[in-house]
Amino acid sequence: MVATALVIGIGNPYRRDDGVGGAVVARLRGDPAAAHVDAVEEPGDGTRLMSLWRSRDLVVIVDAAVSGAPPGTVHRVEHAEGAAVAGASPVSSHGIGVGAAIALAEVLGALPRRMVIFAVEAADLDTGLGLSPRVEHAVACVTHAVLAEVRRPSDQPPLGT
Amino acid sequence: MTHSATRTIDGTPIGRVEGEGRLRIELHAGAVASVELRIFEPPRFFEALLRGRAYTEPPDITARICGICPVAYQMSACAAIEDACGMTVGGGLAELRRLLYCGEWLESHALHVYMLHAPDFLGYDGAVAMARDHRSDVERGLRLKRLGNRIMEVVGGRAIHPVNVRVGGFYRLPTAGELGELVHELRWALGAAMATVEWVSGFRAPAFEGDWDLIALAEPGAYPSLGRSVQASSGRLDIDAADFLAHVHERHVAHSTALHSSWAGGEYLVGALARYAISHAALPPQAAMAARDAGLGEMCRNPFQSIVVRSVEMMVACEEAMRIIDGYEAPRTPSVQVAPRAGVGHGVSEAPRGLLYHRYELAADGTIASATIVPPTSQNQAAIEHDLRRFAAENSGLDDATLATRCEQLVRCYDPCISCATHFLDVQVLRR
Repeated sequence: MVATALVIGIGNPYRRDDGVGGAVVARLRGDPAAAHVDAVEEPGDGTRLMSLWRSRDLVVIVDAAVSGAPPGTVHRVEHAEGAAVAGASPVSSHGIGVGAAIALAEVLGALPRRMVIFAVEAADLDTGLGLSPRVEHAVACVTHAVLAEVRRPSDQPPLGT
Repeated sequence: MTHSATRTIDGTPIGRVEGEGRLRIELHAGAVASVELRIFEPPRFFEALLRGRAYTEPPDITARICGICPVAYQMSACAAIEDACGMTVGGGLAELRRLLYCGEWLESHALHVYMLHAPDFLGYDGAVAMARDHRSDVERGLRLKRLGNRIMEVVGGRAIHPVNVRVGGFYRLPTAGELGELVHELRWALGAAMATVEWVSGFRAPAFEGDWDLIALAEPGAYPSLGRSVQASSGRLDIDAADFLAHVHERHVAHSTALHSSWAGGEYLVGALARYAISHAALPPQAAMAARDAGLGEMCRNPFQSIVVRSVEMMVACEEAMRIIDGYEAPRTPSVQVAPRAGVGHGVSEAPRGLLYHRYELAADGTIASATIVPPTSQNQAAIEHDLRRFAAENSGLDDATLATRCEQLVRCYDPCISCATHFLDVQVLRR
């Protein structure tokens, strides 16, 4: 069985470190080891995210966050704890952000079977292109971690067993 | 409430509006002394950065002003530049533009009605809490929004900041098959939008009536989205887009980084209430019926009932989209050639939040010499403050916390899009 995993890089590449999600998606696209991985970039509209992760077995979200940790720190959370970290992200610009979308999906029973969030501590969310050095450095590490999540065998038995 | 001579109360931040600002209400001995919607959103200088760019660029650059209503920026930009170049884009291409707009109205209105506004009437602090008790309603709202986004993807190439719009038309035409695939969901959506009208018309709206004039586009025989004729509900204004700036005046105010607009020396309101007041007779059949059943009459001046009008407009979007797809014949080319020339052009269209005006001055080679953009929320700011002043005065007997909450709720009625950068509004009540 092919696991229906989806990687979503969230953020705005024109707001410096907010582009970290997109940078990880770009790296996955250029990596032959990730040829099978379904990965998209999204600006972070919550209702749109909910429609993307419907009926997925696994969703891996990569987003920028500000929690006070040193820049470049990578937080990994599964969805049960996810709302708090995603809610700390300052990067959702509209009425329903990532944290609210997770909370809403939870209420509506519309979460994927498993959701893993990688939140990379941002240093610079000003306007402009390019990641700050520590966040740039974290991109390779997050990409590896994302691949490991996607490769992790599903706990659902394959069809026919 | 407390009757002490001087009181300062900070309200709690509220979400569910677009942009960063603070509402400051000052009461002296129970009477409203001042109301300021303080916008400290940094100005983004879009008009300045358009100067020196090519005439083909504004649809993509200005779409970035808003993640909720990028189509509006693209449509007004295209109309203004085509006007400057002496062109009008009509026929099938104009119909596709209308269809794209239907998608934006649907996604924007569904978001506002269900996620941002309905919780106020049902006593929840947001959509998540509301979803626990009103799951099927919230699911209906999300599905309506999803369809709006899907229409934007099919016609605009992308749901947020569409990439398929260009001066003169589109880069690529959707196929009849792609459009046809939308019809099944549109049929469901029309019924769902009607159910929305019934749902929200049962909400209890506080008694309050705005005394402003209402300004919107008017199109002969159609509920307006594109066009050139700007009218006031009072009948005192009926102008072409080219004369907009001669009638509407923008001014800086000290407490806001957004400009305030006035017309004939007073406040006016743009948006769903304005469109409905001017063009209710042009509602498509089912929307007209639902509006009548909801008791809307010929005009609605209560901002708290704007949720009903927005829901009726979701039906308009569905009926219009089905009409356009039903009659769709692919234009011969995705766009028409628009040759640059020296001149000035004006474009208007109806963003979900109201009339959006663009003006461009072009050099002979199409380089932009100047740009002016008047968005709906800046036009509405003065009217919002005016209403808050009256509303706070009528409700000054409420305790501070309740008054702050009521005023926050009133602000949300106008669906303000202060900007796309941040997402909270502080309310501050000062009593002296």
